[in-house]
Formats: sequence, C-alpha cells, structure tokens
Amino acid sequence: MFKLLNSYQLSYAYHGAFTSTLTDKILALSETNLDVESESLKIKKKVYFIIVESLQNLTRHKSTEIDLTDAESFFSIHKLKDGYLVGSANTIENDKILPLSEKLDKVNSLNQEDLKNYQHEVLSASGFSEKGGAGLGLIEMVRKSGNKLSYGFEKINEKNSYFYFQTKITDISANIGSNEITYNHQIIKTIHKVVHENNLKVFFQGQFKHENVKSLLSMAEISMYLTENFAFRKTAVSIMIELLQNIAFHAAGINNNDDRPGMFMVSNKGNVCSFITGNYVTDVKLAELSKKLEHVNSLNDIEITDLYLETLVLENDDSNNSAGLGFVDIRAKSKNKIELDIHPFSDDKKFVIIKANINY
Amino acid sequence: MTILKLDATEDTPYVFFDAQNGIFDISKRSLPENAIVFYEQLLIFINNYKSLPAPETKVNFHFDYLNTSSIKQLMKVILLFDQLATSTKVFVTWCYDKGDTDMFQTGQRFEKLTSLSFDYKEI
Repeated sequence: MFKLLNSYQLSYAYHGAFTSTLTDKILALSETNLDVESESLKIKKKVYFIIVESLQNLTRHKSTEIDLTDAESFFSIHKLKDGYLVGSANTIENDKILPLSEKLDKVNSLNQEDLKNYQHEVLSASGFSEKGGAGLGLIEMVRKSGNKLSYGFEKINEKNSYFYFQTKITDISANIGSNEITYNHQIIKTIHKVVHENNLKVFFQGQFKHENVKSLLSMAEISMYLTENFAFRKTAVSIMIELLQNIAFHAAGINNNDDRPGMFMVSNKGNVCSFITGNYVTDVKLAELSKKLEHVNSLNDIEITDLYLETLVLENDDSNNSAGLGFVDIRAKSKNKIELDIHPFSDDKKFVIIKANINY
Repeated sequence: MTILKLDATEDTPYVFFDAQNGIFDISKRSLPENAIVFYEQLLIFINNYKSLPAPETKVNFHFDYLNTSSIKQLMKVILLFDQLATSTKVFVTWCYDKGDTDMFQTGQRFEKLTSLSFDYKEI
C-alpha cells in the first residue's frame, strides 16, 4: 500500500472530519513543510493559496447529510517533479452537481486574459452563490496554478455523489517536460479509494525535522479521528511523539546527513488504532533496533515496568536520546507488541516500518 | 539569581523556580528537540539551591505531555530533590489531568526510584 501511495508522490493526506481548527493545523503543517522543503517564495505562496482554497471548497460544497459527510471528506497534497498537486474529495448532493460543473467548465474554458475580465465581471456583479462563493476562488485557482482544474463525480446513491477535485501547481522554474501533461481527477480518485479501503486517517511523507513533527503532533491532538476518550487520546499522542521524534533523531539520511526522509500514517480498523512509521536506517543501527524490539516485545507488563525503571536511572545520555526508553514507553503504553518490518534499500541501509497498535 | 521563570512554548514547559520561598513549579508540555540542553539550566539552579535551601521546599509538577528524553532529564531533577530531602523537608505534588492514567503512572515510576513520597492530584 505504501508503495502504491508513493507512486502517486503523495506527501500528505487526511481522511475524516474537517473542522476549522483542523484546517488551520493542516495549513500550519503545509507551511512548515514547504519551508523545510525550501521551496521558492513564489511557489510556496501559490501552493499555500491553492491549499487554502481547496480546503474551503471541501467544506463549502460538501453534502449536508450528516451520516455521509464527515467521515468521507478527504484532502491530499502531492509533491511532483515539476510542482505540486492538491486534491480533495467530498460528498455532494446530486442536484448540486450541474451548477458546480457549469461553473468549473466555464472557468476552465477561459484563457488567462478572459479569466481576468471574467473576474472583474464577477466582482462587480457580486452575485454570491448560496454557499458563499462567487466563483472567485475557482478563477483565482486557475490563474495562480497556471493549470485547468480537474474534477469528476461518482455516484454514491440516489441523493449523493463523491466530488473529486484536483489542482496542479506547476513550478515554471523547474520546467521539466511540458505543461501539456494533463492530470485528470483519476489520481485523487485512486488515492481516495486506497485510503478509504485501508482505513487510513492520516498520511504524511516528507522531512521529519522538528518543526514538521511539532505540526503533525498539534494536528493529531485536535483531530477528530482520535476518539473522544481522553485517556486514549493521551496515549495515542504520547506514542506519536515517540515514534515521530524517533525518526527525527535516528533516521538515516539519503542525500545528506541532515536529511530525515520518512513517512507516517494512522489507520483505524475495528477497535485497533495503528501508528505506522517508515524511514531509512543504517544496517549498524538496525541490528541494535531489532534486538531492542525483540527484547521489549518478549516482556510481560510487570517486566516492562521493571525495564522502564531500570532504563530511567541508566547513566548514559551523551547524545540527545532517551537511552532506549522510547520503545519501552511505547510498549508499556500501547500494551501491544511493536511490529517491525524490514525492506531492502541499499548496501548499508534498509527501509524500516514500525507499527504500534492501541486497542480501544 | 533567586528566581528562574521560563514561559511555556509549543514544546518546552512553563518553569517557575523561587529559591527564596522554596517553590519549584514545572508544568505544561516537555518535548524539546534537545532535552539535555533545556534541562541543564534547571539542574544548575537546583544544584545551587541545594547549598542554601529554604526551610521547606515545595515541588509541583503538572504535565500535559512528556517525551522520553524529557523523562530522563526529569529523573535527574527529581533525584536532586531526593538528595535534598535527606536534610530538609521536601513536598512533591504530582498533578495530572483527570483521566490521564499514563501521566499518573509516570509519576508513580519516578516516586518508586526515590525515597520521596508524592502527593497525587487529579485535576
């Protein structure tokens, strides 16, 4: 599944309920990530704008049928070789499809000059649509992204459909290949399907620098995908802290030593919530890690507490780590074995997937 | 320096140490990138305080989140108060949010490794 998501150059995805605080956190994460990726100011501003508009569209057009809406909203960001792709999927009432498509088709049919005129026209007419937009957002999206908007619908039932929507932002300075490559909404449709079928809630792939880790954490804290149960939420966030900082502290770089590429996802199946990380580890560190996990997994609850206390007073922390307390802590808090999955990568590095599960 | 006051940030705790009145409060969240660097100033302050402590020392903890590298450093902080308790009175209050069993357990683990007795408060 990770390979498949990776083939779509997915960098971030969220599936679930969208609240305005969550939207703010997604924006904060996007901003820090764009900084970490050290994109040019121009592309940063464009991408940020498209993300804002897409998130607003998501809540603006979504169906009001409560059973469907919240759990089914989806948002993703893809980092492509020549730019970014921002996608969203949400439910929409069937009778809203036609007016929305007309608006989108109209905006797509215009060239840059016509768009400008149309924008003036809309501004002076100030004919706001029922849900607050005057189509200005869409016009700006086309103008800023430099690409047409791709969209599609898929019927769910007699009343509702999925509305897939994606915008590509081309980095003109990168200019790899031509701008002619048109991405249709199939990308977002496929990703949405994979995420939906695998009960994924959050996916993030990128640099695990401290800033990004902080944004991911504050996002997780307010996310509704974590149940309302306070103790569970506390445990979940604590485990996330350890897993994410683990990558930030220990993962191997690929391009240079400061590089911390990795991925993180949360899935929710039945009554088990899984936190999955993936990153590169040198063979030397991996041997240590495997041994550590094997030991931690072999212990029962009482033995784990003993090991916790033992590790806590251990006098060795010349480097900024917890002297192995992290996995002991995860094991103790999750009350489940920590899963380890190793995939070959290079002569001296492996791609390592770690999974912590909490029952609730 | 008789007072050490640090405002809470996204990843470092609120700290209020008052040597004259023997008050030591640490709260909010502690998940810094480098816990050793952050806790060093706290450890130095407490070490100095140990040479001229107030008649009674009141230590209050109330954490929201702790990463394990902070837990390691916090152990050092608590062990200093444990040493102090051999000569003067030290009262440790471990507060935790209502329902936060993980944080309650973290307090219990610290307590187990010292001769101090913690007063637990669910808030």
